[in-house]
Amino acid sequence: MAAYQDTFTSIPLSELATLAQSKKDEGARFINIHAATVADGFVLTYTFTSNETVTDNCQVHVTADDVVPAISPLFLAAFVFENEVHDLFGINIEGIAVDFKGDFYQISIETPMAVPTKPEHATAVNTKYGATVPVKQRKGEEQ
Amino acid sequence: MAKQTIIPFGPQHPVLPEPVHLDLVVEDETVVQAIPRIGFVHRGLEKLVEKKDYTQFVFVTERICGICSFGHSLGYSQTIEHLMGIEVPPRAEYLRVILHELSRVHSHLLWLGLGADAFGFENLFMQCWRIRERVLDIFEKTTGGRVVLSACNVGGTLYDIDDETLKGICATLDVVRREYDAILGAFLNDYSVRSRLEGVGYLSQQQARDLSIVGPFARASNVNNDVRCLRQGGYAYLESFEPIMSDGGDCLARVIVRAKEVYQSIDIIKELAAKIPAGPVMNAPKGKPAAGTQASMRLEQPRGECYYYAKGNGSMFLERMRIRTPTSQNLGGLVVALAGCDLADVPNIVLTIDPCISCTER
Amino acid sequence: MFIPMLIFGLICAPILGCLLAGVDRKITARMQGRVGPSILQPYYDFRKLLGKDTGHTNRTESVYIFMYLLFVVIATVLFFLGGNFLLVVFVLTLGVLFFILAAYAPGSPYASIGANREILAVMAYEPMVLLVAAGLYLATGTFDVVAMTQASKPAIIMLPLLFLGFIYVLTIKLRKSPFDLSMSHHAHQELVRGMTTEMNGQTLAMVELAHWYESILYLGWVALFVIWKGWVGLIVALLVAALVYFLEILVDNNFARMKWQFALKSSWWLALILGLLNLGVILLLGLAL
Repeated sequence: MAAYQDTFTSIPLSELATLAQSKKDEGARFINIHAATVADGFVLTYTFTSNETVTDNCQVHVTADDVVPAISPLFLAAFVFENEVHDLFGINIEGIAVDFKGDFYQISIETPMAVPTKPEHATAVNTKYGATVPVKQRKGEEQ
Repeated sequence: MAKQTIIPFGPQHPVLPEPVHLDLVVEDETVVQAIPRIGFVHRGLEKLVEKKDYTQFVFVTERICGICSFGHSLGYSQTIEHLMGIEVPPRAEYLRVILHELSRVHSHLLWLGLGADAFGFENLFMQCWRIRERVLDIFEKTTGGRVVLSACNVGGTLYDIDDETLKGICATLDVVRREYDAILGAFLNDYSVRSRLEGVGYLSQQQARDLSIVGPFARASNVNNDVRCLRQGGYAYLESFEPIMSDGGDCLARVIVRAKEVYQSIDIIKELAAKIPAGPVMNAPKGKPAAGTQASMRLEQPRGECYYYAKGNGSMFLERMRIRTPTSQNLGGLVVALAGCDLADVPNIVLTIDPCISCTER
Repeated sequence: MFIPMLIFGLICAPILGCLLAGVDRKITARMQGRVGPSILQPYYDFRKLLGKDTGHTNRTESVYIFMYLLFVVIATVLFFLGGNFLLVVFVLTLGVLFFILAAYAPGSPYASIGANREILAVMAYEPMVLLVAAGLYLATGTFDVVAMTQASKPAIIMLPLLFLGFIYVLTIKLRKSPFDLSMSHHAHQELVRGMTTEMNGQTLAMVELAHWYESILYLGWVALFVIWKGWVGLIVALLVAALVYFLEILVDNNFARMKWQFALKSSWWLALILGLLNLGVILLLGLAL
């Protein structure tokens, strides 16, 4: 594999806003935001590229209670990913530019990607929404 | 103030190739604001990584979308190869690029047909898709599938294409090129077509940069983020590669960029088919992704740059697989381009970003 | 001649219109490199529509469509019975107005915008149609269709420019690209199906029937320019009508759809230039057939 370079750096949550601002100031291009479940919370990966050659992945470790500042006011394209991360993982992101408030994907299980499963559990989730899996409360419905 | 109507555009609409919903706030046929909604084909494919091991997951990625199918399997395979440090045999790299560029030709022909349909030129739509049938026949002859090829896997390709067939492919592409030349004149020079496309949905270069848009959508506004310039994989064997750019910024520029990319792809395929080396096509992966490793990858799909991320946890199942498709990135650009246009321009603008909503939502 | 022409206008015209629509689809398909449906396909569609349940968002819609069909039939029968040309034009316009009301009735955004566009289309072609009526009167000295068919020479000799202008607006009336703005037979435009979006079942069947009557009526107007007394005149007129329709299909397959601003502006300019020029020349030189 020739010429593909990527970097992974870890930053604390408090530096996220300054990182976004510095990337905006230097004219970097925003590529992606995604989350992954880890043992004690989530890891958010923010990907930018400054010179179109090296992909910079900046990783932020958060817990379910942390409030994450949104970068979509600076990078409008990020609103899609921030809504997605909120819906699928339940991470609390504040200040999303176009906020669908949990209705971006109409899913029936609350935060499906944050439910830790192994392959045998995955089958249970997919066929019967069992007692261990919380079902999303729709407005006005009793469960 | 003029009376405002809200027109619901999609998800079921004959002009849309994919289900996206736009609430168009319209004043007398001028769109004042467009509020997008997606989520109609969300299948949660990223969660399937817990059920399918890393050698099986490539078949899931192929089925994310029908048009970009081969691109996703290629990007996924490249990501896992980067993660596990697997060497791909050179012949496989050539074949992968040939199939990917064929995928680009068929995707752009499909798109040109849909674009023609959007501005009411059904004849051109039928002709484009008829030319595209030749490319689909090539796929079927070499890999057995017209849309979902199942040809790429971690470590190389599953099928070899012998040199006879490659010569046949080049001959077919010459025929495609001739037929394509004949209809391209209609796209670029016809008065009625130009009047529907010129000046419509304009995005300046600065707006394109701010909105981080990718693909031909960005290249038409003179912003280059073509990943093929990085020359990874089979693209490293090309003599040269220059991305096709335009500074029109409107729908016509995007049509021209994609139209010319078809020619460029045909040239790439012929160049690589002429100098493809002999050798094996698969270096089967052994072992599992080590715990705590992670890798990212970018690939230039027909619609733009696609970003992949994989994380291993020491078992046969990946811990996390992320696919960020170009259309998710371009949605912000779509909303900005739609503001202030005529109602009659909405299908044109929606189609010029080349929406692939199945990819966006996975 | 009364009974045969009555039968022609009432019964043969829709049958011919149906076959014409079928031939249209077949030729269009061949131009696009496809095989195309059978020539009787519009008739099969019509029968299928009659057998379906009709769901209405608003019942007045079917009343309006019935009035549209009624007036189109009256206009066609009047024309083929040889009545007054101006009366035929106005009865037809009244019918089209009922069609527009039917499109507004359900309150759907697609149908309403389709109706808006149809009003603009009517505004685009009415001036030319009225100029055609005036031109035919000046050329033949009468508004009576029967008398026009008995003229010794075809009216087109005096009205060439008017004929060209009429062919141009015929594209709008027949709803073919570049002017298939308000509704087209292909549901791919931005308005789903335009004016007929909310129509289904028997209501839509009535719309199809009215379209068949209309196509034959318009081709009758084309023939009126070219016809003269005797069998030769009749046959030439029919051939020219068929040729004009073929030209419309050709134009449909070679143009994208234009926006309403272009349709309105170009037809008014053409009406002004071609129509008034032609009429002006006739009046100034005091010509008559």
